[in-house]
Amino acid sequence: MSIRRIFQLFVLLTTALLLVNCSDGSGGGTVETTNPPEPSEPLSLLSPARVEALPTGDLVVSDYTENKFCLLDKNSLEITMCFAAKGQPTGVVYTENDGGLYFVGNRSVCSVDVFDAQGQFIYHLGGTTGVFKSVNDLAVDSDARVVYVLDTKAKVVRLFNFNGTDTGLTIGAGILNQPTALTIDAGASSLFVSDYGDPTVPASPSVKGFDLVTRTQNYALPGGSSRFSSPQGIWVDNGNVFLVDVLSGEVQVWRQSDNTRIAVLGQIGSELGELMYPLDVLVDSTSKDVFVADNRNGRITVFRGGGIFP
Amino acid sequence: MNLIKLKIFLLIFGFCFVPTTSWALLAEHLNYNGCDTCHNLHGGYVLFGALLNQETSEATCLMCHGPLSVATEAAIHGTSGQITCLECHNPHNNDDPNILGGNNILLLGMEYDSNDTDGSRSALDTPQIREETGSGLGPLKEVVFEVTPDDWHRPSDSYGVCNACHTGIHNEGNDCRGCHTHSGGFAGAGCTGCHDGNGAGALAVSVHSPHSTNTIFNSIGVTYTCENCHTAHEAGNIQIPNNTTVGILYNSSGHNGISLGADDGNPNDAVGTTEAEICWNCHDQNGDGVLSEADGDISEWEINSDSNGSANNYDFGSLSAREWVNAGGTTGATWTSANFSYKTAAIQSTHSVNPYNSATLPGLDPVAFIRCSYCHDVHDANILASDNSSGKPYLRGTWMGNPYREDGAPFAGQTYVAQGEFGLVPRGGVGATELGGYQIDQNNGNPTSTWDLYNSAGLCIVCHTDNIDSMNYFDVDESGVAELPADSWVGTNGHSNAVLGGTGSSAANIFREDWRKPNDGYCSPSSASNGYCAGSPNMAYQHLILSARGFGFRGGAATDGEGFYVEPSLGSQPYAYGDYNWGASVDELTIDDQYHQFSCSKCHNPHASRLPRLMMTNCLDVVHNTWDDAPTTMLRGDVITISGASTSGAQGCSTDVNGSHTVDYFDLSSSSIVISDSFTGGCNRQDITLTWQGDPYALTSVDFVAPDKISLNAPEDLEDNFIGKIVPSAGSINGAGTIVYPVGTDNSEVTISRATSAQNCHRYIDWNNDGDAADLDEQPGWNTVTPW
Repeated sequence: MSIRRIFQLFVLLTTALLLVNCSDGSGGGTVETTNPPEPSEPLSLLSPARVEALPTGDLVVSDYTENKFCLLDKNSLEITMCFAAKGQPTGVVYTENDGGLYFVGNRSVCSVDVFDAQGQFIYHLGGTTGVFKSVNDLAVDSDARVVYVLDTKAKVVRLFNFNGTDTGLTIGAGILNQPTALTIDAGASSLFVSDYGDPTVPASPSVKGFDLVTRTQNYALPGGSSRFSSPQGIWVDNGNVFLVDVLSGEVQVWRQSDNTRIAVLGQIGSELGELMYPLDVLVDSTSKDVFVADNRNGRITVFRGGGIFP
Repeated sequence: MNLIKLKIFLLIFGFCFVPTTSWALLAEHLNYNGCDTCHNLHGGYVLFGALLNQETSEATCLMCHGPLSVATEAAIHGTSGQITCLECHNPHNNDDPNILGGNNILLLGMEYDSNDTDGSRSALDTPQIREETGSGLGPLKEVVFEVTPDDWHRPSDSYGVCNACHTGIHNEGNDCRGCHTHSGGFAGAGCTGCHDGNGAGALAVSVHSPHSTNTIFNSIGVTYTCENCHTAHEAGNIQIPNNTTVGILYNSSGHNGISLGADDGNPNDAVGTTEAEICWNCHDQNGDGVLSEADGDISEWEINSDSNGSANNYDFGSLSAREWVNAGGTTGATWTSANFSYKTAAIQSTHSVNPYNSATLPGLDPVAFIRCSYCHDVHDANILASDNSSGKPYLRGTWMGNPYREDGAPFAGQTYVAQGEFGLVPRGGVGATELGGYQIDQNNGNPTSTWDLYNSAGLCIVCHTDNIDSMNYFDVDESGVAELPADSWVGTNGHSNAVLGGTGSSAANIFREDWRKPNDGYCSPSSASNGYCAGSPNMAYQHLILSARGFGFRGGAATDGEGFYVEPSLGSQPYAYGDYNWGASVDELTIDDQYHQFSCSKCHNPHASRLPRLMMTNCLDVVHNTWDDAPTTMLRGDVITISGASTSGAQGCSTDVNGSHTVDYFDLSSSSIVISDSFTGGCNRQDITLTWQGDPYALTSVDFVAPDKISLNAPEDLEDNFIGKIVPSAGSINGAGTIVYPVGTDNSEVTISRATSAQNCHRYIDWNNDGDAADLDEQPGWNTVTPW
């Protein structure tokens, strides 16, 4: 054995002693998932990306690689209907206005496509494709008849009317760095955006909150080492911020008032209760079930009662 | 760990694990967050001794290159760990730039593949990769990524990155990433990854056709995909060859058409061994083997897609089977008219639309030769420059469906409205709109008045050109015998004066006397013996010598001999020609140019037909074009029975005379019925009985005419019933051949159609079936090829 090789082994051993695993993997509630997809089965998910609640309480999920979006029974986790998207769907939101409309972000052609309640395409926001640089997520305010479009590469949230016209208003310009997802807390009249941040600044991953009326920033949840590094899907329920950290495979729960992490749901893996590249999270306001778009595992994972905290 | 220790560690780490040659980080990674972009000194995962942010190299890369993330999206190829990102990429750097100008794609292959520990990496002089399956490692394959950007798939030496493991024949030599994107893990993009509504040329698949969308099965909750008819990489078993004439041209990458056939187990797959079967597969939605609009099929029969706006929608009848013909093209399915039962018979001609290497004769075509796609633009892509048609039935040019009512013989039981002095007869005037009689522009409201060849048959002229006058696609007949265009017609090609787009070059005056009365002034010699020839008026004839008479336009009062006592009585004017209102010029000189303005669809079925040459109608249906409200008219084809003939004694009949026979034709010169069979002789006795419709008739004689024909000389009471005979029942032919008419009797048994044959403008009567209309009492007509 060469001297060089002996030295390598020594360093490895030393390094190993210095390593500390920061994961604590706390979590709560019972865990369920959707059935794994079968070959050629039309009503199954292969790449769930974003999940949103419907007025009925059920869910709508975008299936990223399969170019479709599907309706999901929140209790049985059975998929009841799928509609063909016009490209790779990202965010998908629904409003009961105008007979029912689905707004679907389209990564393939950089558009937001509008479908009727039967899944028939009607029009694009902005009237055509290529209106955006990169649509990562959507949120909707049915009362104001506004769609919030997160354009990751443009580093801004753009506001569009239901009829497809651009309001000209934006949120987060000059503030957002690498935004990935957003959500609206209607009760707080706030918009929350998860942001990978400035990569040259170690602690820059964050969640930023904006007032819907003034469109100014009113909240920040810093990330970084030992917190979160790759924030994606986000949901706010009862003053708690549910944040998906993609690469740790966790859903982290942060108390908004003091930015204290109060819980972690899941950990990286493919077993029951584990998450592999999760991309979105949603909390049912009544049951406090936490639904997660478990992208690499190709399933929706639900932590029953996972959003209940003392 | 404090800062000093960290620095020491990094120094040692770098000494131990950084190769002796210095690497410069990729600018994109360096500028992101330096080493921390991928490595984590605290809590990192050990892989090859490197401390990564994630437990696998793939997961590390996907931190930023995963879906909905912040960098260029990529996905791994195959199962996680099977082909790692490091198989192709060096996230650090490499001294040698790759052919894309960068230094990221280097095909390191085995060098950093944690799955492949078999063999010494350092022994490899060239980049090589190995297929990794669940059952183990495949052989090493050398790959090239240094020549041209198109070297993803190199058919010449199989060193391409893709064809090191994959075979494919679609788009060879092109960048596979056009369909197999890195962001999609190099999975197939599906057909619509390239062939979509935004494509151009052969990539265009219009969004307007249900064949391009999911509307076909969406209503029943089933997803329909391109792969239900096509297979990826052209693996289908049915080739649709290119036809540049109609706008099918797939010739890139060595293609010579496009393939169908997608039986990969999906229940929605359209299966079959021929293109037509692929189409019929789905169009027979209820799977009963018969295409019928009535049970929800999208069918070329019955009343199908309305393609002529507000005009009449034609009923194309029904077919006994889904397939027009049997596989070999020798036997047609049975076709039934919607309105005329006598037309029922087998299909005689099909439209393969496929003149390349297959359809060279008129007649039936094998199913494999039928090219639905040559007429039907199933994707509604409008690739052909002249094709501006969209929507059902998705054609490659204009087509206006038949706007006329169905032609057919007058039939008993039908009520005809009296037309002027012609009375209750079919075709008495332009007001005759009943079924049973010919339907032309004048009694159909001139439905093509706003049409022309190009807006009604643009699809047809794509192949048949717009030279209407001499249109006759094949130069041979159904037996392959060469024929001139005119050979299909009696005289000249009739298109020129009958079809939209014709020039009238072959127009003729059908009322011209010497053409219609070839033998004498106003009557054929045999008819001259009948006196006034009231029953032989030929084509809409007005007697010009005796101008006060209109032998063809004969109505007549019951008491007027000139009216021949034809019932019903037409009033006081015996010469109904005065009421002729079809608009043609009835005189010796005038040629009514373009009197007919028929569309192609008037006469031709674009798919298949009961008649030859895709005809749907026959203006010279000599068997059925007469009409008689006397049901006892003997017709050609009727079955008679001969009895009483004996071979013994003076009768000397051949033994084959007795029995049932079919009426072949009538010889009016001898008042005989001619039957054809294998006869060896006739009879001389007069006690032979002919039974017809249950009634016996004593024959005067039975004469041997030829080995296959005998002539039955009919008594007068039977003679009266010959088709075309006009001898009134109340009259008789005297010895001199003169008709004697009693006064006060009617002519209720008269064959009225001949008496009023003015309406039969184009007649063709070949009594002896010798192929012409020049014999005694025969009359020339028009088309010869379309007998019912």
